[in-house]
Amino acid sequence: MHTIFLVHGMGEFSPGWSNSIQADIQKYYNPAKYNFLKDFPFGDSFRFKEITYDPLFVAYLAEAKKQADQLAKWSKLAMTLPQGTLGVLQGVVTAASKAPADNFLVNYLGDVAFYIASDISELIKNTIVDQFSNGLGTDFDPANDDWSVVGHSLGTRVLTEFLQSGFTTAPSLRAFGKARVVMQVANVSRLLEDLSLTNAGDVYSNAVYPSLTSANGCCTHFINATHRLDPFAFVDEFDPPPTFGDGRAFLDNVYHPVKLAVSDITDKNVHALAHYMLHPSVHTTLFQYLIPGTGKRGPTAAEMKSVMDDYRGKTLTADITNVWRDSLVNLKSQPFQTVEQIFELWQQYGHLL
Amino acid sequence: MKTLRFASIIVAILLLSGKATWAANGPAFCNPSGYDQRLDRRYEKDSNLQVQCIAGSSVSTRADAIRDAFYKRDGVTQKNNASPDAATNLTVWPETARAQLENIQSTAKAALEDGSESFKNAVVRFTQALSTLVTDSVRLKTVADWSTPGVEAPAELLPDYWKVKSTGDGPGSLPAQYLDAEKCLDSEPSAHCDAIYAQAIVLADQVYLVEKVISTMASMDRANFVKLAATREKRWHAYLYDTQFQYWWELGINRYVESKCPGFLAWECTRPSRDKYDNEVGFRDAPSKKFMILHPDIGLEYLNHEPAGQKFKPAIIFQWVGYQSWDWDNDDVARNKGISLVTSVADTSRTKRFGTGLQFQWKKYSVAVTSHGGDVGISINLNLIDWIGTVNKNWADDLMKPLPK
Repeated sequence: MHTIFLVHGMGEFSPGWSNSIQADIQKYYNPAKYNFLKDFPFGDSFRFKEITYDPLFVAYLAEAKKQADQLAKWSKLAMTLPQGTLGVLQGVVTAASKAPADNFLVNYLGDVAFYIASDISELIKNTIVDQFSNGLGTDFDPANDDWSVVGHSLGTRVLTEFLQSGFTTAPSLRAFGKARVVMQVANVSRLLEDLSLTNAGDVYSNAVYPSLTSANGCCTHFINATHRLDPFAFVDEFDPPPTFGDGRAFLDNVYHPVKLAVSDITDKNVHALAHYMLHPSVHTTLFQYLIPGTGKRGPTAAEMKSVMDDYRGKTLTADITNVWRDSLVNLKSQPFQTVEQIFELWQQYGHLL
Repeated sequence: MKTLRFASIIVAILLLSGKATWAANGPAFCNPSGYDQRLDRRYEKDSNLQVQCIAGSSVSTRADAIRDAFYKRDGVTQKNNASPDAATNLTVWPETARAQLENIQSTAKAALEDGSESFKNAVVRFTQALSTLVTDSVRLKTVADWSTPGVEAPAELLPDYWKVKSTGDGPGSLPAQYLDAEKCLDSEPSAHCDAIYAQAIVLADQVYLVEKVISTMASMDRANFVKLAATREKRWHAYLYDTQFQYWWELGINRYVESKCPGFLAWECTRPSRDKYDNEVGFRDAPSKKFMILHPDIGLEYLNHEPAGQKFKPAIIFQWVGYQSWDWDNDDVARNKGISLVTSVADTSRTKRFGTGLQFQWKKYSVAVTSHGGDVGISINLNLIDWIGTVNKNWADDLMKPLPK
């Protein structure tokens, strides 16, 4: 049995969040369009399991709101204190008594900030172990079963840290066998490494890389999907050098980058996992390495031409004006060197949605 | 002409017998067109757990016997999915593993006798790897020898090393290497490659049996990996929610302090393990201490110099900086204690509005003593009022009266 785990990104996600993307992926998995899939009916070969960690952010925010509501009743006690040192007290009480807002900044970017700057991330990683183990089931045996994982957006950083910790601890995830495929969509693992307040290592030189050597890396195949206009993916883009991992990822053809063009827009939310998965290059690459075998069988040139013609039709009929498209393209010319500039860029993208 | 027709019939029979052999090998799940794909799929189960390609075969029976050998105690086979801790006496597992490997070693010899030069080369490499493993297993006498916490297992004890697969290294890839040497790994079906594949799976089946031993031993590691994570999960949850609530700035500062362990904290702080690229190695354990920084809270303050009937005041108790520590009682916070430098702020008429002093914390209760320009204030938190309520509800109700609803 081959279990495919799906790890969400930033935003609001509760159990059942992956139902729509599961349906999408199974729809694209069409042997009538891709002959190389004919021997592997999806339902017989694979099953999905979702990994959900957003409730852990929600729980913290709920507690923060409770604290804020209590404090708000008494916050006037701190007002009109003399300035100077006690002014700090007043400012902190004001900040602490404001309940977390329900908007893009808090729901999306707040997830990122909490993950990289607080120990909620440690709780998340260990919770994922539980979900991972339950997802594989008590009968799991690496002699008979496989697993793969698809991460998106913040989920790519979450997945990177889970795999890094899991494969370097002892006992380690190697007892479960390596993943067949790790797919990172809109990969922010490198960006969040650089934004981290503490030293967050080097994503190109950690344990999260593909390798044909059993004792190396965390997976056999690593797929990295980036859209050129996705502001979460193009800032500090994950783009490994030839020395990635054990130095053989490129030589052994086990690292597979997929880069989507500026014209590949079928919806305003170019960052969405569904938007990426719709693209034939993304889903066929995933299928090619999920199915058993050496991975050399994929869609034919004729098959790709046919599906890409269909995809191009979708880009032409997408509900996007030229002005909106230009605004998205212009995001790339904004500065994004500092943390403030990056968050500002993301906020501007949020306003475009 | 007759000769040509006869030859055509023979070729057709050969081709058809190849296809007949192909078609007879079970359901469609087990018969993908590529030999590499068939090899990868041979030992899998389908996602409905209804089909396994080797079901009913001698290798399947032997694999089951290997599993049973680990789980059989006093003649009774435990459930296959039972946790090793629950199901077995782990002191006998290493001995069981060694015995099973030796058994495979002795029976493999007969199974792998015949074949082409490239097949024999693959067999030699398999028997060498197995011999090394058997020799090592003799000295791996205890469970800890097979898997030592904190020490990465050697490659030969990894399930991936022995997993039958069409790519990669280790004995698991030897059948695929044999197929590749005979130019059958990625090829279209043919009678020639059918025969090569049939030979490849004779080797693959022996590798698979070794893999079953290794992956069964690795089930200890799988169970321990999950168990250790469950402990860490409980402790991190307790750290976040069973000690004083941390505002977001406190979360950030404590995270920074834990990862950096600045010099003055060296006596209390252990830096996380890192590799030479500064990547964290392993999971971090939840700490048993933390700082409070700029933390406002609410409480009830007693100020003796205020008018009668107004001596109890609602107050903000502001912790400028504080330190809290506790012990772990299994995975629960126990003996939580703390001390903070605080300012209390209350709406006063005769006493100075704000006072500075110290707050002492025990479990979830806190008491602060502050000086309001020489007048002493004593503050307690809401949890302490609740506790007073369990002793005398009227006292607690009276104490709660000044507080906003």
